Amino acid sequence: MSLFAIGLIGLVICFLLIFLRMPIYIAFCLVGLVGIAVVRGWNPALVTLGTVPYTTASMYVWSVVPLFVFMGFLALHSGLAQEFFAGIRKWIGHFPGGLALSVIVGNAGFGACSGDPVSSAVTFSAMCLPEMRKYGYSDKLTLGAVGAGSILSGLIPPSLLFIVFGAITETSIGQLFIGGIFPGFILALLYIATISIMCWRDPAIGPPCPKSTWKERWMAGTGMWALIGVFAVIIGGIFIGLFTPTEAGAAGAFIVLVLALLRKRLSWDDFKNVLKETGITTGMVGMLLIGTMVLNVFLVITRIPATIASFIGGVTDSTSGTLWVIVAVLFVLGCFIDSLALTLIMVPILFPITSQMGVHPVHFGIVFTIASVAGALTPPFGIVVYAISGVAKDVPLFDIFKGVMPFLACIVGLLALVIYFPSLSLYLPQLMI
Amino acid sequence: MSENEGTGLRSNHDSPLEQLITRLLLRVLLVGMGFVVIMMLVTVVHAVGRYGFSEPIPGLVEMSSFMLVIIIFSSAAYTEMNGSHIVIGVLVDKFPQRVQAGLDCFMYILSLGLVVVTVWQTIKRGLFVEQIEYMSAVLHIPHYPFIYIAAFCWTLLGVAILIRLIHFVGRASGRITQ
Repeated sequence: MSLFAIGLIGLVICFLLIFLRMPIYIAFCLVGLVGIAVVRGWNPALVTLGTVPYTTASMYVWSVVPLFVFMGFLALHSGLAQEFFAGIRKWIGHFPGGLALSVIVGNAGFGACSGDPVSSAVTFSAMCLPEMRKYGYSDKLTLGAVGAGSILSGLIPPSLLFIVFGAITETSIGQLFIGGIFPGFILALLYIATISIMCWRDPAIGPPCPKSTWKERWMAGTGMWALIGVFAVIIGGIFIGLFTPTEAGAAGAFIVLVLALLRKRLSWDDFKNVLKETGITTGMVGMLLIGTMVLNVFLVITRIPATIASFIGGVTDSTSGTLWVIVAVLFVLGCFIDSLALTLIMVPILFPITSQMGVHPVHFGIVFTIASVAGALTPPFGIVVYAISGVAKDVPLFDIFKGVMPFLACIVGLLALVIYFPSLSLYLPQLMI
Repeated sequence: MSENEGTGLRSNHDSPLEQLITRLLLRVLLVGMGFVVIMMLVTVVHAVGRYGFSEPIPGLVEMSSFMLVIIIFSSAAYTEMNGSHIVIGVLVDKFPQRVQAGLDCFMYILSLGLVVVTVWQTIKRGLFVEQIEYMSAVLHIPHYPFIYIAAFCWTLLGVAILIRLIHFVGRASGRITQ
């Protein structure tokens, strides 16, 4: 049997185990172990299992993960997200659909602290739904905006997916963060345009709120200005070469912690919860990374990425065509697989293909991330939609899926822009010091 | 992020032993997360020292790497106990409860076997690294204690998997309904 056939069978078994509800990190390790044993023998396979997990866990590049996760949960538990939303509301709430627009801007701002769409979706659903109902907003618009807005956390730095992509492909995480700024803001603008058009066509779904005075606007939650400050420190620091991403994560977490303590917004119990949730997320991500690295050894031995690369190269030789094929594959897989798992499974396979075609790693990283986070909104898996449904129990799941559909069109539009205009993702990284 | 988040094993069926183990795993996780706070502080001091006083902390990368080992491995077992590792239930969720539990039993027997082998291999690796006195380049910190910590945490993960397996067996046999 050829190496490729063994690799392919291994991948099929891996997917089978995953869909039979085996924890993904275990499925990766198990298939990696047995696969290496089949190709090279049991001794090298066992040595791999004894060395790769420790080597992976001790890679400095991953230190950025717990720091940003810690910062995100600190911001969440100290009420910064809520304050940011309240502040933005005072600025733009009086426009038609203003509260929905505030959800989008609030998510963009919260995305600067949390790289996790699910946290954003849960936070904003619980926070916004009662208030937006009070002002007569339709649930479909509210929850559609919440779901779509949460995706911004995956794009606006610091995004967990960028960190993972950068570490797996040895692409600069700082460049990915900076490269994600334009696409993230363009997506926010597309969402805003969509909400405005929807409310223009049917004003009843998003009536304007009472106008705040200028004094009220400027006095709007200190949390709003704090989040803007944290974003400036993280992104500004990376952009001008003051910080590495790890240092930016540490500085951001430190600032948020100090702010929370000074403003007495973090009790000891809150802090323990922050640590617990940071641990759960870090443990989940860390073990997935370990599993991926073990599986990767097997994939590389069987030359799976190289063979698939030459196959796709045979289908189309245009760069944009290849990217669209990849996007289509990710959209389909994203309907069933979480975006983080998708990144870990597919990046090692797809990255060599695009590298071979001369696609800039940052450009590919951003296209990949946009396409993989979109799956969080699509049926049947749509993890963000399920997370929202867990909070808004009285709204049918189908209505939430319907609510996010117009925003999915925005994501496809953004993908087209980023694929055909690589400078949208490459211009800022090229200016980095 | 995890599809099965919150479907961990905290229920009225938990025996005192399970509750004790859960508390122990949570303590281990919290100790590990203490290193996140330390890493944050050390990194901030390093950055401030580098720009403010031209005196960065030597060997920060090594220190952070060792802390990362503790952070990642210490959190794995509680995450498992809490049911927060990512699983895809889109297919199996449609099956009858007992079939689901039967499948979970099979998957967790395989998982337990894998973890046992990993513990064995990690200890072997630790012994080897201790023997050759492999150390970090700048601070000369030996690697083997951290490899043993990893082995210990893999063992805790094995315990968490075993407890979940026992629950799945109970569900498959109809003794536990939830």
